[in-house]
Amino acid sequence: MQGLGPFLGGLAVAAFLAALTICAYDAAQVTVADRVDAPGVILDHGPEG
Amino acid sequence: MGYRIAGAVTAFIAALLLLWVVVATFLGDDLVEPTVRVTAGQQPGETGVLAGEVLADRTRLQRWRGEVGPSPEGETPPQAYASEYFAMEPGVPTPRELVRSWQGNVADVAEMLRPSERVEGHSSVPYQVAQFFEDPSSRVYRERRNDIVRHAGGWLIFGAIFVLAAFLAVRGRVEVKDGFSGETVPRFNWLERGNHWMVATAFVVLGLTGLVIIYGRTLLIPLIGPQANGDVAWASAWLHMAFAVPFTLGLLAMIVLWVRENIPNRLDWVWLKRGAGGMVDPRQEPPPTPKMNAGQKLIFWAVVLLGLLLVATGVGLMFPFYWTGLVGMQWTQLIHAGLGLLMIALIIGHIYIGTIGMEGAFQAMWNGRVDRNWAREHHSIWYKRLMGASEHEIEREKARAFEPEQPHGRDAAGPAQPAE
Repeated sequence: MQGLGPFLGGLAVAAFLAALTICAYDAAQVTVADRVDAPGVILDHGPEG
Repeated sequence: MGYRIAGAVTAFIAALLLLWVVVATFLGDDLVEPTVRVTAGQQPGETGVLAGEVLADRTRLQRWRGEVGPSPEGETPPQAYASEYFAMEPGVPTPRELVRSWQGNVADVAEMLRPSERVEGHSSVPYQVAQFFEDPSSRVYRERRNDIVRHAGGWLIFGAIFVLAAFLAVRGRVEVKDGFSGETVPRFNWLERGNHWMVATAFVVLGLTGLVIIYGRTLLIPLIGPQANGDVAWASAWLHMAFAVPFTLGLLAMIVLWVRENIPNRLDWVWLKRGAGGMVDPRQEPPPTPKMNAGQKLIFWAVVLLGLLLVATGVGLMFPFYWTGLVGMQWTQLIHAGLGLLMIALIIGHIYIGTIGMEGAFQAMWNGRVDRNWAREHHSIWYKRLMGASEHEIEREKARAFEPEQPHGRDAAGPAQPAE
């Protein structure tokens, strides 16, 4: 039982940071659709296509 | 003996799984399948010339790209809707439905598939959306991801389990030769342990969700169906991103906490030459070793380097196309997946040696304390320092590593504590 503290502590901090990340990433609304006009993003079939 | 038997059984199962991967790699179906697989044949359902002509006719439908409907150059080829020459994958619509769907409204994907002026050639897949994969570089990417990376992951993971289990069966556990003394000394403090478990928790989640992302389509769909796999994959993608943050922060903390102890030195080479500190051959004595031996240092640096690369590529995947284009994204994904699988195999080895593989090792990370005899045997330089030895004595202990191996060399570190 002596080792349970750091183990559960590490687990709890990991879960807490993960929950924060989900909120932050969701709020940032990162989508591929926003980036389709980025340089180099060309759906190029080429002559072999 | 029980451990050896368990090792033998596990090695046998791992060997069977490896055999399965070998068959899948060299003899199995090609994992790089087009979204719609069409088998051409002279007779219905076979390969050959006649169906090839039908395929060519169908292709003509798609020469006029970026628009819906058949090519304005001619009439709809008569065989374009022919179905009797095609053996379709179970569950996919008929060729007629496929072609019509291709001709239908694609407004929902038009933005993504907007043809640029550079687009040339024609597609042979009757799906607008699947034409993405007709891009030569994307096709190569798809093969690398679906074939090479997936199979390599099987080799790595089952290979690691097989090697470790076979090692356990042959060698048995690495035991404390003088037995446990019952007295312990401190090895890792609460901050080191808490941080270790935070990284470990994050890595287990990252590893499992990463495996779902890579193998869900091939391994989970047959078991739980596409709908459930979709739900699991969706949750996995979110969890994978979420736990990347505790992993990254914990990794940086690990570097700060442990980098000093893991700087390589001459003693590491001695440890490696002595059969990994006597782990391979029980007749060999572990040489004088500081707090971290060469094996632990290798794990540390592998975790740091692989971890940082995984973080860098992972951020690139979390923010797609922010820093690189399509080909860059493909390489980012491939490198991330490949290194992730490599790290899973590595951590399986780390977990093994920290639990089953070595007697007395797990307590170091669980309650932060190790048995005196374990410390004396495996990390004698560190133990001497812990016991307040003078610098002269420490230097003498280090020098002992470079002397010819003594049958009872460990006694130089001081007498063993009597076993319980």
